[in-house]
Amino acid sequence: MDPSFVLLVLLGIFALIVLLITIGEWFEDIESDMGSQSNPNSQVQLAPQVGVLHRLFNKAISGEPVSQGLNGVIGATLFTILWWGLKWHPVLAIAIAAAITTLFHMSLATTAHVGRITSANVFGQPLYYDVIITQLPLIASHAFILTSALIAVSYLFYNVFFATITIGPETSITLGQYLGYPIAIPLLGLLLGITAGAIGSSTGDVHYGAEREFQHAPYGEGVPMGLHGYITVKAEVGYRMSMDVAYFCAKYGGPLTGFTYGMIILLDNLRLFIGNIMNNVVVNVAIGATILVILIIFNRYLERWARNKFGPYS
Amino acid sequence: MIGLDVMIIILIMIAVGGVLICAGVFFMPVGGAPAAMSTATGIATGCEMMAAGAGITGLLMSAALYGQPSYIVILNAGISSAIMMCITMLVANFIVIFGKGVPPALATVEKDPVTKENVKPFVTPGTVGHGVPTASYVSGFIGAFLGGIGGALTFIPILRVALSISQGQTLNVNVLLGAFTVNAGHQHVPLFVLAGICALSMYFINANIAAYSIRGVIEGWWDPKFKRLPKTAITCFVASLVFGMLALLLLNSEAFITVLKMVRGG
Repeated sequence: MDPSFVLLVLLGIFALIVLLITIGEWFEDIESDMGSQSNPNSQVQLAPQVGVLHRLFNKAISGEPVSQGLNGVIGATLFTILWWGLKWHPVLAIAIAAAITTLFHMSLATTAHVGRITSANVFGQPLYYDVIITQLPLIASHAFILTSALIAVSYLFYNVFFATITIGPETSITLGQYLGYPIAIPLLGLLLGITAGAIGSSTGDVHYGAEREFQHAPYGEGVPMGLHGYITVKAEVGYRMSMDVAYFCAKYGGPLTGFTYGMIILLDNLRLFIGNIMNNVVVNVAIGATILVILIIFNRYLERWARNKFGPYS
Repeated sequence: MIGLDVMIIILIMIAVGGVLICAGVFFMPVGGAPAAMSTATGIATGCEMMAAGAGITGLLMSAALYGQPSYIVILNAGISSAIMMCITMLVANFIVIFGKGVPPALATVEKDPVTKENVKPFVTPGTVGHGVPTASYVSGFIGAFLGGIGGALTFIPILRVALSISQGQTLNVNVLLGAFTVNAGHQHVPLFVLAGICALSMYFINANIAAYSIRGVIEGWWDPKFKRLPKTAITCFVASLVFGMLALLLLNSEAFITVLKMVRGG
């Protein structure tokens, strides 16, 4: 076999990893927006206390990173049992493991929502049965996609690291020197899940918290403290449900969150990949430093552009 | 058994790692829940989650480069964490600027400490800034870099001690800090997991201590809360030292060494 063909296959696997993580993170953000998880949940929890009754789903009993880390570790552990222990085909094992994890996630979401809403019952917030049964399948489907992406990426990273391809009678290439991590799949699921949650909570949730939750407030200014708790409860038609939030955030917040995680995995592994191919760690560091400088300059440009375009507060 | 000199170096590495993680958290522009509503400057998540999220990228890089000399692993882990943080902050700015229509602004100072621009007019009344301005961006970059180094400083000694005991190698300072020649196989994966879990817990321990000290929101090195860093760093030093001793007790125990030697058998 031609060594350049091996390199091509490796690049293909790398592209698949980036694609999987991008799509998974995209759905992660929408899932968390739909369950009002992470920081915007503070407003959903505060709303009944200031007299604003809502029909939003609220499943935030833990931070997003911990919740997605739990998803990742349960799914990856089940996958390891099915694939390594019972010798199932990995594709089937990923689907079954993600499905069982989704059941865990659904029970967690239900109990969290019921608990959170009943705690606001003293302020007159009713617990709507239809809110649970209409949002829960949506939350489950989004969590399923995220979990399968996390498990698949963990599997690819682990397996690529230990894969050896024979290219001649005497020579063989260990793919681990170019791509992958020698970390067990369950821990890799936990680590990737925690990172997914941290990114989703710090980027995509801003679109939900700052814009969609306060859509009746003027566009083009931060949400003042005085407005906290007074969230938008009316939708385009009727009362707003969490699926209306998903429809809105899937257009901008979700894709950008996916783009973030995809870019991180792409750039970080690309510098490792190129450095390893050239067999020189200095290349690693040089590419990393270049990326950082470009990012800082780009952020400065974006800031100046925004200040010139929007002008000072008036 | 682990020699005394190696033990002291491991303890110092872990304790310094803890201090660096603590300093890293202080540098990060942590916005917490208010930042998600564009009511405060910074990244819209808590200290622990930001430190762990950035640190994990560094940990994965340390695991991939396990055979390189220590200083290269440490530097690369720092850069990986910084890349993660910088991309996250950039996209957070994208969402604040194009999703909400507000320019990034600082509230605690009149002028941006890096660009020297007047930032006060851009702050919405009733808020304490929004987005990640350049000074916070640079501060976050430094914080993530320090945090990544701190995690790698815990990951490397624990992994190398466990790997060299399992291989029956003599443990000296050179093994700990220089290039490492063991080729990792399937049987070594538990050792990577051990080192990874230790480093991950270091992030949670030290970021938690720092979070108690920050209590919510911090903008960067010019924030008045930053003055609490020295006291918190001493606390983190002691906590990490205790953690390092526990890790060493585990690595040095008879039963654990037996398990490690079984790893060599495959």
